[in-house]
Amino acid sequence: MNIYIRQQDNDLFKYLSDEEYQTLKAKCIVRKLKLGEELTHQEISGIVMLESGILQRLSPNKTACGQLFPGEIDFELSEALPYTLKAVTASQISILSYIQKEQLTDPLLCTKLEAAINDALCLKIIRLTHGE
Amino acid sequence: MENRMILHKLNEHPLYCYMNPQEIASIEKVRIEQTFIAHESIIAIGERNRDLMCLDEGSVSIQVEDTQGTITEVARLHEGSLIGEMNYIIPTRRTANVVSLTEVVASYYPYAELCALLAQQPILAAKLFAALNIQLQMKLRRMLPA
Repeated sequence: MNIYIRQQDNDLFKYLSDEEYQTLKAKCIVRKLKLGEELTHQEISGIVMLESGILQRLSPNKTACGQLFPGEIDFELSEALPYTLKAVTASQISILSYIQKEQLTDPLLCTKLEAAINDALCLKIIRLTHGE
Repeated sequence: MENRMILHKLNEHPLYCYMNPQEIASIEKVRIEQTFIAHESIIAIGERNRDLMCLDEGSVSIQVEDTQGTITEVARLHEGSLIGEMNYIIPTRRTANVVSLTEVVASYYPYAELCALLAQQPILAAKLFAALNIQLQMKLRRMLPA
């Protein structure tokens, strides 16, 4: 919606100022993934931001249900969806844990993150609708 | 002192679920109630309108049209459902017809008025956006392969 202006490339931090971005970036954990490595929602327990590489969403019966490219996010909410993320190339992710997100105290910062998640979930639905 | 912005679910409303009575009163200021008779068009494919809508009473049919103009019902929504949340968040156009199956009472939240209110009240905005995220995730869950 037309309330905030995009200021960052990262889809979770898109509406944050440079200062807000640096503050939140410092709270994230960076993790490297090997080719073929698979991530579960339960194991990660946070919002995944892909920094490099490509991840594939895989349903429980291993049906591909979308890809994740650098700058995009997944595992947006603490309620799990029925898929895992598999590295189709060597990749690097940042994780903002749900606990870290809950501990944020600035309402505007929280609002900007929720708005960014609105956008990410909508885009994911649109891409699934279009068979991507 | 507890400063964290923890979202506790306080009711089952699709938009108000994290809001306290004062916050609900605040958002109700932009709400417009509208009644439709059965089989009336509520939303038509192609409309650019970005209003958010909540179905308070009744049921609606969600219909799409193919290139030949054949109309197919793809879903039915009932009381407590949100309509138009995708176009509220990302500007495209209405991608389905919404037609009342019964008499329907709906709440409209006009796009410009709602955005203006939320821009002034970040806590209210965070709670509304978080509620929308739950609805979007439910929609996504229904679309994913088993």
